[in-house]
Amino acid sequence: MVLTVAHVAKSYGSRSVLRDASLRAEPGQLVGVVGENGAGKTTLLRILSGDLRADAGTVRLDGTLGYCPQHPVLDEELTIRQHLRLFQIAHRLSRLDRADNLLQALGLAAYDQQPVKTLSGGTRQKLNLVLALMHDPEVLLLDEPYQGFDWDTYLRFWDIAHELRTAGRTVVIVSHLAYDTHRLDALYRLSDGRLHPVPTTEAQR
Amino acid sequence: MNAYRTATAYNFLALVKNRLALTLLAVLVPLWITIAKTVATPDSTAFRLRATGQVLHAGGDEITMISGSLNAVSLLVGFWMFSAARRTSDFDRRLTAAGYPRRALLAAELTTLLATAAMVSAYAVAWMLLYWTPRQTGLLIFAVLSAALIYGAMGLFLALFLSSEVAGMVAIIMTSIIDLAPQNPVAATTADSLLITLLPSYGSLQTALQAGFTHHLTVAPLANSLAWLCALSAIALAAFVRRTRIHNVGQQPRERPHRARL
Repeated sequence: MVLTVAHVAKSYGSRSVLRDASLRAEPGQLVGVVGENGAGKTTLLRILSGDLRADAGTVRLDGTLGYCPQHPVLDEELTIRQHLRLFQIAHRLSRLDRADNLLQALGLAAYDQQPVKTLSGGTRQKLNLVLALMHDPEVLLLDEPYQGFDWDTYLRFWDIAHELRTAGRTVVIVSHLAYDTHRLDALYRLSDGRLHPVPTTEAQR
Repeated sequence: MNAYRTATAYNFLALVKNRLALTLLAVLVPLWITIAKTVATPDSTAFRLRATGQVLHAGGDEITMISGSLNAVSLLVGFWMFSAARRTSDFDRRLTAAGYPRRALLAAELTTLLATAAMVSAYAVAWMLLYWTPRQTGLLIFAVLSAALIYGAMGLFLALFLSSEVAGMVAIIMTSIIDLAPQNPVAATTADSLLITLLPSYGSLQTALQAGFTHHLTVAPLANSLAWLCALSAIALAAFVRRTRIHNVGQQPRERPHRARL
């Protein structure tokens, strides 16, 4: 297992968000987590990424991590190229070939020298995704990764996700919509603070 | 070193794109100093330098110019640093989580504060020199710089609690008014309260008055400036470290499988 989540619990004051959440993901698996608004999906992902401490339970992650937060976390004043440069240093990458290929694949290359504050919401989300993918991490945590995408970009996103799976990467996708779940290898529904396994063909019914 | 250089360069690039702060710098500082010099009375006023107890005589316009320049520089650097810290707060967290060296980001932040404060202070003193020749120009620059640094650190500090640019600006303006108004030697020539010596700009104003009208230097008031600077910087830096902390999730590196095609 590359990602093992066991009996994770988290409360905000008296409000219990996660009670006993458990999940296992193998290399080369596309795993979906769906749930209603406020079910605790983002809290779960923040715990998995190390952004938040769980009250109880364990998270075990083997390998490098890429995390794409729900809302693009970018510097409004910097260009796309400057973002790549900063994350090249952060990930200690000698080259930006993969990042450049991702820019091309998502149609971002034309905006390379534009500051983020001039970009549309969908374009920012693409950059948000590129920053999580550019170091080719073994485990990817994606929080509502395709919100704001047009249809072509949405399809391109799934192409990229399947290429990652073929290369043995583990991708965890969190969404409030149980849509296109047939593309996933495993699916969990988060409700009542617990992760319930759901057959991938049933979620859309 | 590369991480520090890149972060510092991008900090400056972002700072010079802050058009509001640049406009305030270009207009507010000369306007404030010019108004102080031309509107306030040039008649000699006697006031007691609290740092030494010495009674000095100086033109009201020159005293007002010193006080006004400290005010303008404080507001400007405070707002500039507040605005930058608020903008990059979440992004810094993401960068450090991805592996960007925290020390490099911290050093870049401090370099930006120091360089911005030095540049704004030099600009303000240059405008003052157009109207007036202080007795100790170097010390005057140092005094203005100390106020700029304190309010710059205060901007970083306020960015921890206030989320909107307007809230930050109002907080800095109000603090500066509460800080400088009771100390103005023209308005309160004999006021002598322990509370005044605890105000953030006490050291800067006392040093600036010495620089303007004496050939002496009493360093005691600067201890106050240093204490304010250290306290505000320490809180802001501690908050940065806390905010960029990553919780251990039992991560273990391993041999990588073949690279994905993209």
